[in-house]
Amino acid sequence: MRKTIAAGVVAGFALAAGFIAPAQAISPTTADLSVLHGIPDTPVDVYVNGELTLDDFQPGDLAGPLDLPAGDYAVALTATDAADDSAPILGPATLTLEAGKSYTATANLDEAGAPALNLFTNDIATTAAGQGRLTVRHVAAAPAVDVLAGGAPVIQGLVNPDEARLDLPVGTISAAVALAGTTEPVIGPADVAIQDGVLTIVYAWGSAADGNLALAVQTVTVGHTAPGGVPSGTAGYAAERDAMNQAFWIIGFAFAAAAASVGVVVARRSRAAKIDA
Amino acid sequence: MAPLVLIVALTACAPAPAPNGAGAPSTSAVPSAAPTPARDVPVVSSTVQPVRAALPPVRVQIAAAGIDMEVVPVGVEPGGFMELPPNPAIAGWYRFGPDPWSPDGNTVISAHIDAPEYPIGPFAQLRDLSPDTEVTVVADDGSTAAYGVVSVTYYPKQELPTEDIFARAGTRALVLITCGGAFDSTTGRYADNVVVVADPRT
Repeated sequence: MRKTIAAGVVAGFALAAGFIAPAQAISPTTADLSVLHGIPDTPVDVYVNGELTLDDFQPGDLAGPLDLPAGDYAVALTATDAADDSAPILGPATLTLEAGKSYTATANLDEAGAPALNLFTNDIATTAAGQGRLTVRHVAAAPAVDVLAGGAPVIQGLVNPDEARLDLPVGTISAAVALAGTTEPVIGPADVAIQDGVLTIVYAWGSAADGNLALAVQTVTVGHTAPGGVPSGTAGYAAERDAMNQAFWIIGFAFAAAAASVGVVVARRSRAAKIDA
Repeated sequence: MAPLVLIVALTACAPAPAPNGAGAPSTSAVPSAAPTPARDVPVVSSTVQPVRAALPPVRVQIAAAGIDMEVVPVGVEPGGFMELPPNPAIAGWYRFGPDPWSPDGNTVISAHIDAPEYPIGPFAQLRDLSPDTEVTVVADDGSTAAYGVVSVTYYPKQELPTEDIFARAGTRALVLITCGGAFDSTTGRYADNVVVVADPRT
């Protein structure tokens, strides 16, 4: 049971709950899909199941998230002036989306520099209090790389199209990408925020041979962990003070009552005395 | 005889599964060509964007109760409970959650009602705040955020709706927490949390 003052106002949280926006649109029957365009210098149209879904989609842009029913989707990329998806420059490829999951599809270069489609599953598990999640994906035409945070390698030997994941304390890290076994950045450094309850996905994309390697960043809000409670009193002084105040009231009340009854008795006696007299 | 008069209200406030913000990023206009897309999909640049830095509260002021307290950033204890400054005269702001100037969510500030070897803290007065009492939170850069008290609620500690209190999405409320109710001297704990919810006022 809880007790609330403030008559006429519903206790704060029943009120607030009504305004909480849905987080991801993910439901027991749908999945979230985002799409990252990581092929340099090649704007495209994106067709999903034969329907134009992204028009004139530019390299470096991130689309979505789309809330889609679980199932298979045929994805094809065409030139931007195509009338339909009959002559794709990439695909068609089948993406299988499971309900309750978050995905990012990337159109990117493989290690050798050929266009490729990849489907990554985003880890949307709840983070611990004070922690954020970092995922790094190698979708660049480049050999194995190390990921540096503050100059020190935190992920080593990452190859296209793999990913690595770690949970980190909240804060800002200076992230850079170096060829595996080296500490000389080929991308970055760039400041990347690690936020409580947020998955930050960093993509290394572009082409080493063409000198256009770059970082792309996607953030996905995942569950955070609220503190388990707020133990905010350890001495009991306030409770003691309350008890004493209460005791004073009771004692005071008793005195007053006693005095009143004495008065009545006295009055009665004196009256009786008068009658006797 | 209780020293307080409390209007008892039961609220169906089931802790919702933490729906934590997200929200689609802003949509940029996509120039149309023939054919037109079947649906409108938000598209943003994936370049590294600066993230809004938190603006920590440094004071909480409740003039009507004579409260003007220092506030320091706090996190969680190893056991997962909210960390609090040992001195009841200093309040803690939950730094992993929103601050008063965040676009969404609750700012949570808490202080001990009492602690051994310290005087009883200013938050002992929270339980006596009446609706619409003005509460002001101040940041180091002079920013202020004004609130009005909406409710004062006693929650048995094990029923504290932490998911709602520490919400990241939804209304930008200020939540002030301390302890109250009966004190169990064998465990050194109070039975209840006293929770003040205040809404932004201009």
